[in-house]
Amino acid sequence: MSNTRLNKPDDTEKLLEQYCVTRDKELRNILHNRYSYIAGAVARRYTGRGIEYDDLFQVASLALVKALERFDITKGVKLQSFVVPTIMGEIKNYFRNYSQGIKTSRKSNDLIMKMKTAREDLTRKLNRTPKTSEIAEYMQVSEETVLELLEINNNTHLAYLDSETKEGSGSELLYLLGRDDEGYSSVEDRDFIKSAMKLLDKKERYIIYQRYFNQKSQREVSKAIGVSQMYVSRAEKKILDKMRTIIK
Amino acid sequence: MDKVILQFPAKADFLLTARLTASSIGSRMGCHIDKLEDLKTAVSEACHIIMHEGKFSNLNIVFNLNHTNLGICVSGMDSGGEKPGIETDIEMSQYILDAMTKNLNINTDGSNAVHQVSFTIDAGEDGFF
Repeated sequence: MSNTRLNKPDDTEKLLEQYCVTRDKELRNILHNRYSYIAGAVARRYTGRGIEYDDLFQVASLALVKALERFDITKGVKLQSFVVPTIMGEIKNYFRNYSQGIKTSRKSNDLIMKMKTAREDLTRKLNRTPKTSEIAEYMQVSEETVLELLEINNNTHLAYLDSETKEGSGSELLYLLGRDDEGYSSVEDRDFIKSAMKLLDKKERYIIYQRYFNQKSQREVSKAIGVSQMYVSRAEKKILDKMRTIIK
Repeated sequence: MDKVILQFPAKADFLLTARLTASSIGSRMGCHIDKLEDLKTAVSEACHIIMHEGKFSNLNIVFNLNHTNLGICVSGMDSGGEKPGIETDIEMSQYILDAMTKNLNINTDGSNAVHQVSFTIDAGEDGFF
């Protein structure tokens, strides 16, 4: 079998031996560069399955680092024989975990796959869409499990916020999403502050009013009432504590 | 045991035919879609290894459908047609096959060109995905 990796410098094997003894990171990085073609080759074989090559290459490169760190030359195995399955395993893990927008458990994923097969098989056999009970019997699971799987399957796809809610309706999903109406909490807050302010003395009320309603600085307030800025700072802190206690 | 035999010219254009056949057989055996991808990759890699040297004009793939596994044997034949060969990294293909399949056998002829690649893939096992 011809070796197409002739461009690999001859000292790679020696470096690998050295690395297995020293576990020196710089050596590992050199080895990673020399063997990164493996990451690329394996990643290329997984393209076209919904994840970009660049992402796959990144996963494969990280797997190569892990493999190099775990590789033990004394076991008598060639690095490539160890690295290729490691990278493949990591890429498959990546597919399992990230090819869906929402993660589901591995068991659910497996069962969903089986359910799809069951659905297709039964549709063919019965010449109609199968019932939940029929799928459950086929898969030898309970009907509840089938329903749960259907629900999981329907909820693993992400919807775009700018997608139309109904074709041609022009209304985007974003506008249908609920959010807290700040108006209500603002009314409540104002009411709290109003009642708390009533319990402050004239000076305290003035400081808070100037600081928080008129956005005046502590220095400006201190000049207006003829005290030091430090006094306003301490007073403000005390008043706020007092107001917090009142609100509680 | 059922057997399916596919013979096609050793040209890159026909690899799709081999992949689709493998996929269809795997599907009949109950492989899930991710495993089908692996099956197609394994068949492609085996074809690449044999086509690499450009010594064969035809490829022959035998699929042996057993209850527990799918045996695949890809071999090259020279029946006097075109032998274009294919640019590929066969060392890497071998590592990929080794990691993906079981009972991998790569046989070379007198001139050291690979003329047969055989392996099995377990259908019921959940090792790939």
